[in-house]
Amino acid sequence: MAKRNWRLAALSGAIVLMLAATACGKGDTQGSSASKESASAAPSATATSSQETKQEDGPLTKYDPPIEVSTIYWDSAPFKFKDGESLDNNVWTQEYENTLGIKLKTAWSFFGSLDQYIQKMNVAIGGGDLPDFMQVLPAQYKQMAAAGQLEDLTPYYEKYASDLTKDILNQDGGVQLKASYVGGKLLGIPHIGSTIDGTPLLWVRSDWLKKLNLPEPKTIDDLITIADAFVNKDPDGNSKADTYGLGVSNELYGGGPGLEGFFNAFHAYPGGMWIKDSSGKLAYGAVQPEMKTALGKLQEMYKKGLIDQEFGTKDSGKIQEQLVSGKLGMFFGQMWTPLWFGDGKKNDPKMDFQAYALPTTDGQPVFKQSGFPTGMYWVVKKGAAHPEAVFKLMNVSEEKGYGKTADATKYMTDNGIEFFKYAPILVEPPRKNLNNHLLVTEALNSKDTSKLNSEQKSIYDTIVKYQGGDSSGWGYDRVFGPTGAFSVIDQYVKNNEVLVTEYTAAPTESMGKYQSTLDKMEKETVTKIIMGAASLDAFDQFVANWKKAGGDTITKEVDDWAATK
Amino acid sequence: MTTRKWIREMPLHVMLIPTVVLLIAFSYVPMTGIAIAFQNFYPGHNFFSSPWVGWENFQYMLQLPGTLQVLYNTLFIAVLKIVANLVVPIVMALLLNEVRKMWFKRSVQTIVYLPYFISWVLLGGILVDILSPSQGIVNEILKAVGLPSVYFLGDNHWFPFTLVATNTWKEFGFNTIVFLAALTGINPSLYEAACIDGASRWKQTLKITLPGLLPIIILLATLSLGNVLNAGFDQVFNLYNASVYESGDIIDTMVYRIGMGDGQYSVATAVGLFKSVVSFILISVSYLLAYRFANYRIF
Repeated sequence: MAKRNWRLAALSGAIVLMLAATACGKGDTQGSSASKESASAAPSATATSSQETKQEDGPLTKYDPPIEVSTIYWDSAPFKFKDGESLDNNVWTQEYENTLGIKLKTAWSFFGSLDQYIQKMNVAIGGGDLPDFMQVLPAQYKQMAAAGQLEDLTPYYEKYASDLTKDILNQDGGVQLKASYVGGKLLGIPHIGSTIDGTPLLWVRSDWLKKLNLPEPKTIDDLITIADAFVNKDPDGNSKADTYGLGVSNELYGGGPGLEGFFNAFHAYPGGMWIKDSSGKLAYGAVQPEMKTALGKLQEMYKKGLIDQEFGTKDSGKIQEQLVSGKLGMFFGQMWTPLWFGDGKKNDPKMDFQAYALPTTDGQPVFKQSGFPTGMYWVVKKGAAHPEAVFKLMNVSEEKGYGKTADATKYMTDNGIEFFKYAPILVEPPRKNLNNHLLVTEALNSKDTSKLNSEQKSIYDTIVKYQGGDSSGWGYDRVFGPTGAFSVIDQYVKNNEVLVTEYTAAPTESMGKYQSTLDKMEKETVTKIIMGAASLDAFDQFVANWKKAGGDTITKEVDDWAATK
Repeated sequence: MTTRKWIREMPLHVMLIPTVVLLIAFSYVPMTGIAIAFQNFYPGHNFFSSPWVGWENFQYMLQLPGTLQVLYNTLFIAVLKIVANLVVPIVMALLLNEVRKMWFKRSVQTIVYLPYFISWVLLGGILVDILSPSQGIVNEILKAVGLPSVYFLGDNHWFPFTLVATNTWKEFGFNTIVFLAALTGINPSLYEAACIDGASRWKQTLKITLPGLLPIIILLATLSLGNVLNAGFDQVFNLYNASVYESGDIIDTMVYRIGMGDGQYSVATAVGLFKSVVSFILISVSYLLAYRFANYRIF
């Protein structure tokens, strides 16, 4: 989804650029003069510092005398500052200067939409006017790597990344870090995201389960039994047949709510996933035969009325209405979904949802799919005086943001002012949410909050309040609480059941050309088959069409990429 | 033109300058962007650094599966809309014209004009509820008179007609007002004469009112012909869904998915250019026809 938005944004950016060529020109000159200054300032610093600090130079060694490192700041809206602070003088720059002897220099900053930032970065990359380090998109990363504009960070990673930094970058099992290597070289630090936060979960109204004396959903047959009872046995007790079985939005995929969880139960992986087929080659999940089995089951459920007969016209907004009004009791969502319809708890205090692991069809382990979450890369300009400085900065950022000495009110947010935005390099640990759950749960058992950092403490307080009868904390309890979504995700991780897409690079050329057409075909076919407007065999026709309309070309490109990886 | 006349009209020409400048800056200068229809354009590059590819973008568009279906859908929906948007307002204006009570006429006129101002984003959400087969009021009525319920927004047979009907409902108030204004321009003495000659109300409508309206009908028809490839992006985008792609996907929604979704700006521009050329030809032809047969002139 995020990818979509960027492209959309990029187009409007293209239009803006055409109309406002002059504005961009101005920004450019500022950028270039700033980076020239820093370029001239940096080498002199190297000359003196490198000799003195050569022995025992490590992840947090201070530069003496201090060096200057230039970078770029971008955000959608201008930063807010406390009185007397600014981009060049704030809690983070002071921290870097005091502990590392690094003076951060703003080559340029830009506050506006991502598309415009992409434009400006494209211009800067094209003109070669780059600061010492900066954040770029996957496509730009690929392009800059090919053009030899990037410093090889491989040796610096080993020597200068702190244990905490290495831990954070490997919390996903190192998938995203490995995917950042280009030709065996680490040319950028991935701004990694979580592969576990987006895994599908089955959410069921536990108060209805109890009321109707239903089993927990362990298998798809259980799920069908529950859906049938939710539709036909009047779970809300108003003597009207106005409740739904399994909730599905017409977007088909995603957390609000989608069908990935259902398909995963049948070992099918749609929604843009690339998987390894039996021969070890990469294959597109949505055109594999397992899809057909799952679609057959969905068609059957629709025919029996267990899926909203009008799901084709119900987007996630309509599903949200159904949830808030207490008409829907089961859907495949993600960990955050209860926070999205908390108003339902206000309408009906009896409402309660429980997250369950995905049901099975055959007793085999069910793998939960996850897209590839790296959105950006930090890269260091080829020829920068201190390529290792980026790791030192990151070490300090992670320590003060998420480490043992983390102080959220000093470095992250306070009173609505978001200090963490001033840190030019900072990665949220992918397991942060899961760890929050684990530590909060532990604290709830032991009543000992001394191990919690300030974010965890606030979650803890919310849940304690909820347990004391304040229903406004219900969503937090369902997500982070002892039996919340993350207790299930914790099992996923422990059982090694998270399946990340195998294709981890920027979109290939044919993907750019054909993906939206193929997506449309897929969505149309899946929707029609479920609604019975097309027979199940229409799936075979779809697969054939998919291959002809660009799918084969994309698969070949993906295979070629996999061969060079 | 004499010198005196030129001097006298001088201030008027001067007053025109800001408009012309704005028109050039915002309508003509951006037209240079058409160039990217023939290029392989990437954001961050400009017209000069992008490679030229000739007609490749047009060929790519034509070979995509479903392009012909999309073209057909667009024409079908757009033509139906053009016809409905002429016929319904004419009938409405004629009926309102016969109303004697001024307050009633004015209220109806205002009420039917109101939906014109609601955005399709809002209407989209409302229509999904109104047209729902299980809870929607329309299907409640159908069921009450013994007809089967219809899934207006999910059935490929009904979807195009639903689009036309809802669009007409939203838009017809505007043209109704235009026609009502034209009706006031018809000389009342014609009706008096017809009355004296014993013509009935119906005869008066056929022989006086409709011929009197003809110029404005031709004008509106001519202008709307330029829309023959505009099936209404806002409306379709907010109402369609995967189950009615077959009958509801139009050029604009396709371009949206390709241009915005896949970031293929060149292809999107190429299709936009194609639409503009077709519209330009149709407007020119219909203007010539109006010029010849209805004596309608702009210049």
